[in-house]
Amino acid sequence: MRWLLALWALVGVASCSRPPTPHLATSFWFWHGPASLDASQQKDLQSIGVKTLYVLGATIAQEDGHLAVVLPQRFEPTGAQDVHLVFRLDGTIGAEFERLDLDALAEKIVNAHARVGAQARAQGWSVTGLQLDFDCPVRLLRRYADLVSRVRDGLPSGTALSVTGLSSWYASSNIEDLAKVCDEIVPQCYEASLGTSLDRLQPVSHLALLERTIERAERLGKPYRIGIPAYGHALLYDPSGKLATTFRRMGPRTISRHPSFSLEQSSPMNAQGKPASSAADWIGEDLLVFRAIKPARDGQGLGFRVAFKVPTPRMVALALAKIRSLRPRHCRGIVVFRIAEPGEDLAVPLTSVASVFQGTEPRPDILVTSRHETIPYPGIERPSQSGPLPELLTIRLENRGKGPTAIRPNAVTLDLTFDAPGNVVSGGDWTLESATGASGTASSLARATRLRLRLPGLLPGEAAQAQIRIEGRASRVTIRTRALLPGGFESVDHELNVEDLREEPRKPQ
Amino acid sequence: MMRRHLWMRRWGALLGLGALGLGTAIWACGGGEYLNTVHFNTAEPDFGSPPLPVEIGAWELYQSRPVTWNGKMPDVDWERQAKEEEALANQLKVLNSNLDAQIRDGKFSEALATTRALIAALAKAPTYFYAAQEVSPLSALMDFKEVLESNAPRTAVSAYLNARQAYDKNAKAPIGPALQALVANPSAGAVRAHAAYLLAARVYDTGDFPAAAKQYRSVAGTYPASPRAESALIMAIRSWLRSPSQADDYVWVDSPLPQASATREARAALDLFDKRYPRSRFRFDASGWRARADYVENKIPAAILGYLAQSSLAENDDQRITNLSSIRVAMKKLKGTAATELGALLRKRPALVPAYVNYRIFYTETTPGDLDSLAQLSEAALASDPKTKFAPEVMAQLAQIEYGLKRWQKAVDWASKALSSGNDTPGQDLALYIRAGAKAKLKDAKGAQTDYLELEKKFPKSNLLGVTLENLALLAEARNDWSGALKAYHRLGYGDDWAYLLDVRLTVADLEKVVSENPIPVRRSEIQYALALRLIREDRYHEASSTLAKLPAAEIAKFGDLKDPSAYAWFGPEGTDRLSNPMDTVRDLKALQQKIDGATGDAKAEALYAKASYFYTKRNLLLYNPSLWKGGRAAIFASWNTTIQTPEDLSQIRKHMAEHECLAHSRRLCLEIVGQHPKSPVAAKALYRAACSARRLADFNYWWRSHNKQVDSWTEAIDLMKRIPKEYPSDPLAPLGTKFAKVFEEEKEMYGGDYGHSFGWELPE
Repeated sequence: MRWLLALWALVGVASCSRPPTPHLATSFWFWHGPASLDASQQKDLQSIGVKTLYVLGATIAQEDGHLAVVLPQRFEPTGAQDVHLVFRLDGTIGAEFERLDLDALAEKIVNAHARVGAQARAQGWSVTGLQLDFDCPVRLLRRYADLVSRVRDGLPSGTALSVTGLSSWYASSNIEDLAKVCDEIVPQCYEASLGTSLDRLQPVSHLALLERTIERAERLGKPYRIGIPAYGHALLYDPSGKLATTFRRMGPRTISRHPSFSLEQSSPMNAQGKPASSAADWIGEDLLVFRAIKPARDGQGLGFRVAFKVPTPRMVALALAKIRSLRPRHCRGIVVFRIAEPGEDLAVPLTSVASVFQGTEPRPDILVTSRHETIPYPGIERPSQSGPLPELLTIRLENRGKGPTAIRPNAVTLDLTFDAPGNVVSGGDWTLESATGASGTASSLARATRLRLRLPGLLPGEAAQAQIRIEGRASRVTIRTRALLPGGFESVDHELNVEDLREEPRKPQ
Repeated sequence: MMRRHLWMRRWGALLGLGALGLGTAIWACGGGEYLNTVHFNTAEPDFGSPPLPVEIGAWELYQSRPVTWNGKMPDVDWERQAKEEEALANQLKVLNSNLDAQIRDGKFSEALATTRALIAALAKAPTYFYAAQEVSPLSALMDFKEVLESNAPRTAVSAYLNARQAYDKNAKAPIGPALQALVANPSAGAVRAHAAYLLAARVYDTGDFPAAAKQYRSVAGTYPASPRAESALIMAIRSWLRSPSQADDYVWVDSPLPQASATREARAALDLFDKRYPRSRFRFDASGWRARADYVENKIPAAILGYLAQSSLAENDDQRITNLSSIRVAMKKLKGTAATELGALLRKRPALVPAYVNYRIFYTETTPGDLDSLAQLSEAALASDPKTKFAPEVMAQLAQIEYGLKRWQKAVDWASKALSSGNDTPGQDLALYIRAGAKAKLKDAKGAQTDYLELEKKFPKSNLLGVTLENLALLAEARNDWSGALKAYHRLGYGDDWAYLLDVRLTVADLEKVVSENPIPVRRSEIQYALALRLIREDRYHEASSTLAKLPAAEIAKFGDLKDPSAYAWFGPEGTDRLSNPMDTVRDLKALQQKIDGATGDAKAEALYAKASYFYTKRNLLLYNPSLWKGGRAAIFASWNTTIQTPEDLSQIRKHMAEHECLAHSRRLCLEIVGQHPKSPVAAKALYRAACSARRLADFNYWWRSHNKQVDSWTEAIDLMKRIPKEYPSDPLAPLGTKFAKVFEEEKEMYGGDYGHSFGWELPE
């Protein structure tokens, strides 16, 4: 089922009878440090014409009235894109916004922009703008506009100035004041609700909110860009299901292997955060819930749950299709939150996002290879033993596609069927899920002829290796792999037969 | 509050929730073990086994090798080494420049001296010394030296040296005609051999190895007396035995292998080489090439034996790496019966077993079964030829293998053999450590102690010193030498073990003895303070006062952390968990006790209740020693190392918990009132307070939660509450008794199950 083609078909039909839409530029938020892009990331960005990046420059916080610039960004050489430095005003600013000295705050922001910008330029980046990220209460929008105006006064002329925005702002006429003092507003149309309890958990994506926001922004009639999500979340819930905090210690793939956690739920989500009944119902995010079956080292945490909202390329595709179907006239572009860190499984890989923007469905492409070599040492050291020497069978899977597999404990499974028992998982990235005998019942490793191993997922470009030490008399093995696609509705399967595991047996001395 | 950097938008309020500690539960991810302790060591190691090399896995550190490296860390003065290297680099630069000038100016005797100096300087250079790359390579310098030492005519020498220098700068320099002229000129004397050699080298550089081999062989045959003949012969062998496709000396190519004829020529040349040059500086290389010849002819077992023999000739890291690579490549080709054949051959040549064992232990994966086989192979080799030379550090590692296999006496035997090699050989500290641990396992505590002390004395910079002190501490504890144990923990800096001994394990009598022995003078006051608190807990107020009186007020304030009495008031209800000055505590308790001692009947009950209430309202840090625990006491017992606990540890811990907790005191005193003064006006209140105390103890901390398995505080609290309306129906507390009995039952249902289970703390049945 090629869901993206279906989406594009929808967009194509919708586009026939309406006036042409201005071109939508594509940009990204870059939210981690250090700020650097490798060659393949540059290639992906250039393939979809990305000319601007919104890079987190620093967070501005305050304590007892003292303003601080926290965790300023560090730049490494170099990107080909223009950079707008984003300054986040955090919750401590929000709590005191009515009382803070706006001149001091504006000066802090402008100075931070100058310092971080200088460091970026020293590494070869071109810094052309500033963006403020502040969840301002609607009633204080005018005050916020005042702040933005003061920031504008402090910036060198020609510096682009934008603000991120909340959908709720458009319900207030005060947004016009804000729109007047900046070049653009970039409403972020996602994560409307975190879900304060596990049963009220919501996906990050919110297409209805996206649509509503675009309608409102169009009514305002000012230029804007629209923010869409390409990331997920991890949340910790106490044993009664109440939200405790965000969880950043481990990603879903790491926790899948952790002996203190057990998977409780794994399903694609619909727009209400419930299990999707079909691919059509699926919002493009998967839900994984793990329960702590052992306490942490400090004795706390038994019974807590960690819920991961795992993003997939489909969430980006759905948002993109929605925007294009609405054909917004005043929208200058789309900004994607955010570029994934290397190896990160809670953000959609950049190469997958690029594929979506290019109109191609990013799918995993799994290459399976195997090799084996004799382990000679028992023959040297234990001459009285007979039987064949052990072999080390190495099976390698590499994802050469643009899309990730699903991310869940059994996202990729490796089924090995030997013609004789005595095969031990020796090392590698995989977890042994089951060992069964010829009759199909569970068995010890010494007697098993079938081994099932699992891997919690492969991102584009990743590879994983399984090693099996063949101690018994097996001479043949059938290797079947199954890789689930995100959502779990489809899989890609492979089969490989290895016929020559054994050479001549040794004779006892 | 643990600061969290939330990159996510909008939910900064969650920082507050995280501050409550709910989100700070840390499941170990990437090395969460607590290792700098003995009694709370979460890895629960066998302390007699030395620490093994570790690697960081996904959520734990795992041991990557079955044996410690060689137990000896190099003691490097990095600053001095850097200065020496800088001096050496300068020296090389000057010498090289002088040599160029001397050759250019025809000052050959000076050039010879400079060449010899350069060779000697390069011999001192460390591996991969950058400055060595800036001067003429060693092979060229040897060539210069041989030419300058010869009696060749000056013109010939000059012509040759110029050609050589041109070649060293650019291998493609057009020196061919000059060299050929020298070769063709009989009056060029000894230089002819060198010129012929250099011509062969230029053929080698083109990659035409058969032609180069022939030419080198010809040099060795035509000029047998020349020092160049030795180099030429080894180069001929090398040319015959390398793969014809191998263009780069450093990128090994195994296909195609040399032809049979080339290998035959090489073998013949090797025979000649061994005959002519038994003490050649190229004997490492010759040994390797002989093994290579076997490899090429698919005689893999013989090749491996050859490489194992070669390993003893390695004089530097470069050669050791080359040798290991050769063994590894050859092992990959070993299959089926050839492996068995190698085993048999190895047993016939026991002198090669140490090299094989060393390779297996450090450069291959091993299973416990493999280690057993390796140990047996080593024993068999020694039995077969007692002169078999195992390096002391290998014997120490064999001792470690035997220790790991729980063959204690064999571990002692191997370690003793290693130690008989002498003090300066590597692995002595490891051998001592293993032997000590094995002796301890054989119940020879005295012998173990002797070996540990010897290690401490002879190898003060050993990386085994820390674990040695751990064992000395444990041995001291076993013989109740508390001063000895404290000294060891003090040297180790193990604050939690120090705290455990002073605050829990030692009896008051033990502590008094330690005070009098004064093992660590700088910490005498700290120990006295600990004693004072222990005396207060045992209701020995006069003695506590006297002990405290010996300490200045400033020290009492320091040890009691009295600068901020609410520093630990994190979780409890308002007013609880405040630190107190023990002087005030002992004064108050003394006064309360005096009232109890002087009263009878209901007055006594009231006095008891007053003391119980004192504890209850001033809980939970009234009897706490912050200088020892620094806020970590409750959590640390979740890491209790059960593998070394003794019955005395457990009984002292139980006693400590009962004495330390104010709630335990208030419960005890209140139950005393109810038991002995049931009709007293305060009896109902005492019953109520006892119930509340029991309830709080039921989930007080990890230890108390686990202790519910022995004494169920939940049930006790419920039962005590139920008694109030039964035994005191008209008391105002009666309805509260009914109500809270129910509440406690619900709470037990919610919190008393899994959540109440031990977190790594198990008491014996």
